[in-house]
Amino acid sequence: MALSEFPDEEMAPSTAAGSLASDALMSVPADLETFATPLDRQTAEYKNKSDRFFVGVSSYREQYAQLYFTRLMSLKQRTLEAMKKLSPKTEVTNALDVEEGVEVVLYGVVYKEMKLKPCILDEYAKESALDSKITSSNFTADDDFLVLEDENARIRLEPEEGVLCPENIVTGVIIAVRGRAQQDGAFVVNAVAYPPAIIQRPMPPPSSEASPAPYIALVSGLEIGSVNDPLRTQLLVDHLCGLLGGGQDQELSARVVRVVIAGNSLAYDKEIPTGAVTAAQRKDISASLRELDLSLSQLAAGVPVDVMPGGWDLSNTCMPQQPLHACLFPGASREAEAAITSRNPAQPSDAMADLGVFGVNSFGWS
Amino acid sequence: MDAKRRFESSQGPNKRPFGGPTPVAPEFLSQEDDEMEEMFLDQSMAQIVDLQAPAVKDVSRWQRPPAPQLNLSTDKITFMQIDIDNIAGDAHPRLTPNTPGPVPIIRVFGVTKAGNSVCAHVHGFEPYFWIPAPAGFSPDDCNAFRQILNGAVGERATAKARTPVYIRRVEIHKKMSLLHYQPDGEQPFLKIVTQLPSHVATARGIVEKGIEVPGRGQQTFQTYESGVLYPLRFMVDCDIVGGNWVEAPAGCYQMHSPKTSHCQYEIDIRWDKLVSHPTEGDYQGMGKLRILSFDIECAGRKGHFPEPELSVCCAVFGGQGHFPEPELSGHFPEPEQDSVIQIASMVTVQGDKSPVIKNVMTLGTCAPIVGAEVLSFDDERDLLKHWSALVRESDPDLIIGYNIMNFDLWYLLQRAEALKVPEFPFFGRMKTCPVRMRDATFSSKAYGTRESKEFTIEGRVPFDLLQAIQRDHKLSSYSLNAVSAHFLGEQKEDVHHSAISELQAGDEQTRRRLAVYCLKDAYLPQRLLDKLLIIYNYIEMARVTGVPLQYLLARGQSIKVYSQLLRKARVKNLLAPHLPGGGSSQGDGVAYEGATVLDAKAGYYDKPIATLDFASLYPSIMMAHNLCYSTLVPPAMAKALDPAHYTKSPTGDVFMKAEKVKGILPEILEELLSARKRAKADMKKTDDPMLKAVLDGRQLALKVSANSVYGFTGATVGKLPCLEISASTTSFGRTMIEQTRNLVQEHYTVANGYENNAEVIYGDTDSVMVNFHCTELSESMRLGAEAAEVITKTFIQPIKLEFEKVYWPYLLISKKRYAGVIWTNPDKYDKIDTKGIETVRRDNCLLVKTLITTCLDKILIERNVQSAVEYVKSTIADLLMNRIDLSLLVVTKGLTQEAENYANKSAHAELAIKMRKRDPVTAPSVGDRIPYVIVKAVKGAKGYEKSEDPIYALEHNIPIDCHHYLEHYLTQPLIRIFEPIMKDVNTLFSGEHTRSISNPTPSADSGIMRFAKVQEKCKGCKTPLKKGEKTLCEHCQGNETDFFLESLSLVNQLEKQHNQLWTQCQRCQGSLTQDVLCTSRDCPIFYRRKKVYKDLSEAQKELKRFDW
Repeated sequence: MALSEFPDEEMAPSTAAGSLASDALMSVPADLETFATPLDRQTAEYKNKSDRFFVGVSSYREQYAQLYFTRLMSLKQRTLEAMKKLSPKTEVTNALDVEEGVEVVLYGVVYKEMKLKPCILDEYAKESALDSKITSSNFTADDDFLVLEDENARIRLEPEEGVLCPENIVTGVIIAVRGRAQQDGAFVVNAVAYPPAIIQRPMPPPSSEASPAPYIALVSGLEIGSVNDPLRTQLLVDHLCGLLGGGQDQELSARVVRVVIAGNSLAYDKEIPTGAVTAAQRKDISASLRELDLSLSQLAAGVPVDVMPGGWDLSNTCMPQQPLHACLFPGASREAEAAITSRNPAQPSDAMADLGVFGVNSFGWS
Repeated sequence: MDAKRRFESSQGPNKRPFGGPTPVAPEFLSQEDDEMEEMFLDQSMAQIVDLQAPAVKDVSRWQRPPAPQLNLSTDKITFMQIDIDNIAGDAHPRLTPNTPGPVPIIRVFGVTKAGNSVCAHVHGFEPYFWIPAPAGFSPDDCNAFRQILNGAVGERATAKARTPVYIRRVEIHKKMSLLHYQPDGEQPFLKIVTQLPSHVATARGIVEKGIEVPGRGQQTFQTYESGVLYPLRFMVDCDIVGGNWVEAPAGCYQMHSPKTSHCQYEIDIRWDKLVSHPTEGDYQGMGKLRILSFDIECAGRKGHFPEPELSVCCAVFGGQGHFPEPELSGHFPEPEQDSVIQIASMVTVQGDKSPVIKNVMTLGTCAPIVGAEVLSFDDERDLLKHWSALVRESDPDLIIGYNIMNFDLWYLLQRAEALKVPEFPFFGRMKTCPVRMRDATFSSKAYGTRESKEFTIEGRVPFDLLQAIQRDHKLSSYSLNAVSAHFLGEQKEDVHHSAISELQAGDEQTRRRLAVYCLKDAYLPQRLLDKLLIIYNYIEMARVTGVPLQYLLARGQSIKVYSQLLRKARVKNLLAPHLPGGGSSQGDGVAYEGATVLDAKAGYYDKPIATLDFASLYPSIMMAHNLCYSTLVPPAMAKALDPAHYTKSPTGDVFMKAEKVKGILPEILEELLSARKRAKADMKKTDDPMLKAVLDGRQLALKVSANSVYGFTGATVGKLPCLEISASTTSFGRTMIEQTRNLVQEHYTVANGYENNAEVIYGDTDSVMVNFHCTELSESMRLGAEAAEVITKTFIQPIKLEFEKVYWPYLLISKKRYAGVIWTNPDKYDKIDTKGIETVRRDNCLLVKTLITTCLDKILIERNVQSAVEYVKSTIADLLMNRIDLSLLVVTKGLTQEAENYANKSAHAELAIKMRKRDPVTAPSVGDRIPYVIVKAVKGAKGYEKSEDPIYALEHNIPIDCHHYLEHYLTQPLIRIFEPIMKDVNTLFSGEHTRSISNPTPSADSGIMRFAKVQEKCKGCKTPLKKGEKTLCEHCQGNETDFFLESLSLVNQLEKQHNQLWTQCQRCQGSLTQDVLCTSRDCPIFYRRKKVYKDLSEAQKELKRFDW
């Protein structure tokens, strides 16, 4: 897709890659030839492999246990290796075989016992009518404690001072701990290891030929509909379309082969309301959606766009989030049908495999 | 354990026959049989099996701390006794010399301060009873009379009760009868001492029918204290009360040899050498009791009839060569066929936080469990043998569990018999006595009739938490799940027994899963015990009333009062008569007038209503008017007395005044109440939480005991009924309530200088509600306190009218039905108090409870009637629109007998039949609690025909009959509440909000729908879609976004709920990496899980109609 259809020559920015001074816009065009040469947007091969995250009809039959178990199995080795660096000699065992007083390494999923965590059973508790009025927004308490669960069993962790602070950890994290079991069955932790980030595949060397390396622009948190100045979004769109700045800026824009909007395009309070949608809410959301639609249409006219759902976008709650429906931005989809892809997180492109997520998968565990 | 439900009785405590404090009625067990059986066991069991402890590796870790060697002449043994029984044995050569034949020996079991177990054989205590001496009977006649009686008893004695001598002695003593005022003072009585306890009953029968008295011909006698259980007799005479500390002084005891028990110390002592310590000072503490809590799991077999592995399993483990015929009536495990697959046990030392032993024995391999010992066996017999050994070695004083009486213990004994494991039942404390079981019927006015098993485990007290909780708490369900939800605030996992068999048939990991579940179930009773301070409360109750711990659960209230009466009478030289009829359940039906209830001036009171209560009404009346057996004057005698010396009750009965003769009931009551005051005062002083718990248990026990004295006199089937006393007590109560009303209304008038005329709006048994017509809360409190003081002065001491609380606002519906907000101080209300309103009823669905509770909350606390009305209307609208959570509509009832046997058709029984037709394997059987919902049926269908399994209804989209719920469940309670407040209650049930009714389409695969062709309609306007249109018609297309949003919102909402529900189930089961198995139908989440799954599937289908 080329960046060339400027209707008004007068308004068209100067180009001449790199040769113009930064104040070129303020000066008389030196060379009309360069001025008239349109820049071509670079293109790259693109394969949308996000299909594997597309859930047709979810059965809702699976329990969470499978997820925890699989994650534990896949992170276990790395976590233990990290622990090995800390403490190469200590024997690794599992919660069942812990002997009292012997220092060992254990691994597993952390479960944090929180008394104040809201619980659906509270609805049935007696005298809830009176008590529920005193609600708290803080779900942590001083007596929260951690439990480590491996494939077989649970053991209560009692971290030594400063080793593993319950406040800093959430349920679901995979860790390895070193310590000793006490008589009462609790495990006193003196060291902890987390799974390190996976080693990344090296970036492919930039293609040496004439064209410089292509870019993918990642954008998130447009939060349209919030009190933010709409100018922000407009400037972004204009910039990516190459409508702003001097030749250098435009050249940069031309190297952007794709824009990925990685979530939270709508403002937080435009989250889908729970309960029946009222007319006022619908109106509000529709207005924001129209605004988003407009921006996207402009953007998509200039560059291929991927829209991914974020934490408070109009997608579903369960993992993996499903692509945003095309009917949410009818204008943009009509405008450039091929250019806009609403999609799931994974993005393999141009020999680079990357996983783009908004981060929803790291909160919301319970 | 699912199977236990079979016995969890669904019937609640019976309705109280009178208002106010329940006249506690007695219970009956045939006591004589009891003794007979006890006595001769030792002999019949003499040929006992060789008790070879099975080869358990290192049993020492299970044992008690080692017992130090004692020096007989310098060391005393002090121990807390917990069980006392008696046997017939050979006389001790030194302690009871020259006694031929079998003699009764009392065994006292207990534990020392250091935690060592003790068994004391107490010798020389002779059974006896009394009869009045015939006129002119002299000491010289004693022997002749003895011989006659001895002969008569000899003739009647059964083969088992044959002894060389039956009546050992006849003595003359000066005594008085407890019943009736005795102006003549002490009279001669004959003390008849028998050889064995069972001879007492035989001799009693003889003298009651008539016996030849030397020189005076045939005479019949009233007997005295002839129905006292022998161990209780011993306790009374030695001043031993249940669970107190006793001492064998140095030099007074000998070691019993060879040892016959598993106790660490086993001693012989004469009964008069044993010292009983009153529960004071150092002796009020609790010994280091060892408590064994256990639970078993059994394989349910019939549920899996077609599976061949199971039949193999049955053949191998169950010792049955054939596979049994399938029965359609259910699949409750039968001890003859179904194996015990796991037993989890936990031994805790009283007062310690964590158990000393925690293990689980499994049939088949089982992966290890943190913090618990796993013992796996291939042969079920070994499993049983080991458990029996565990009990012997760990030597618990108490054996607790949930429904162990009717299930676990019963099952184990039956199973051991079926498998021919003769050594299994020997887990009592006596080496040669197996554990015995028999059917017992417990019947009591207060607790209803219950059938149960009774176990004799020598020296150990079996204590079933289910029974204790059924007695002490009124709950809507007594399943372990419901009980733990109620008291511990947690839901318990409930694994269906078909799942149990599956887990058992799996590998060591699945069996481990089951073992973890089993361990939890074994731990819960212990936690309940700790949480509810049951040990403290029961031991204190035993100490206060003087009966052994075991009587508290196995018997009713009357034995407790009787024990106190006997003790007091003994001190006063009085004898309690043995009344014929006492001890059997005849003569019921004699009624007397109960408490009074003043007419309720129904309405909604926005002004503070002061409540004046009589403190301990009935005990204080009995004390004030000196009402007692020993002060009651027979009408004939009353004429001869000076009226100044007696009180005539409103019923016309005459009682002597305290100045002339002090009654012993008032004295017992005074002691109880002053002891309660002391306990309460001590409680304030101490900081030790253990002692506090003991004292609190004591004050509670004292209070209950004081209140049960009145009931004892009124229990017509009791030990010593005396309706003159109970009827007089209630009659005094009635006049007092009326007197209070009159005094208040006469005193607090404008004429007397008060701002308004006071008005008594309601009064019940022991309380009076007064409306002083003042608007200030503090003013009403002041007037209330003042009135209580003024009126108290008009009554005889110690009757006391107390001002306790103010209701503001107060909603008085009718007699015994009211609700109000309680204020005990002017700044902050305490809580909502309701009586007789559907907030706690067990047979209702949750919807009613929530609705009524919320309404009361809105009316009384928010004082916003309008919002309550709105709430009701919106709930009704939700109900009609089928938006109510199904779990709120489930009604649960227990199937107490085979469904066909119900005389009246009832919803749950009909459903049981229906479910059996559908699938006999999963259908409920007797003892199961059946949850159901009311669904729409053909027009004119009876109520009971409309019940349906909630899960079935959900899955098949069977519409709920919301009108049935509205009419049968909601209308009446709502009318009751709203009638006093609203002008026209009917507006709640008619109008705008009742006009939208949802009528779900029956699902496509059933009934007539199978013939219907489904045509897609536009999501917007419901127009049938044309070809090529998938979601919306051409006219609605423009608003696609809106419709999409709506669908999405629904899916999201449900997904969130789905998440919350499952995460809760994960928390409850205590594991993240293992699948949730629980299918507890007592848990509301179970239904919601099902419902949300179904809703979500549907909502998602709708969402997917939009093109992707």
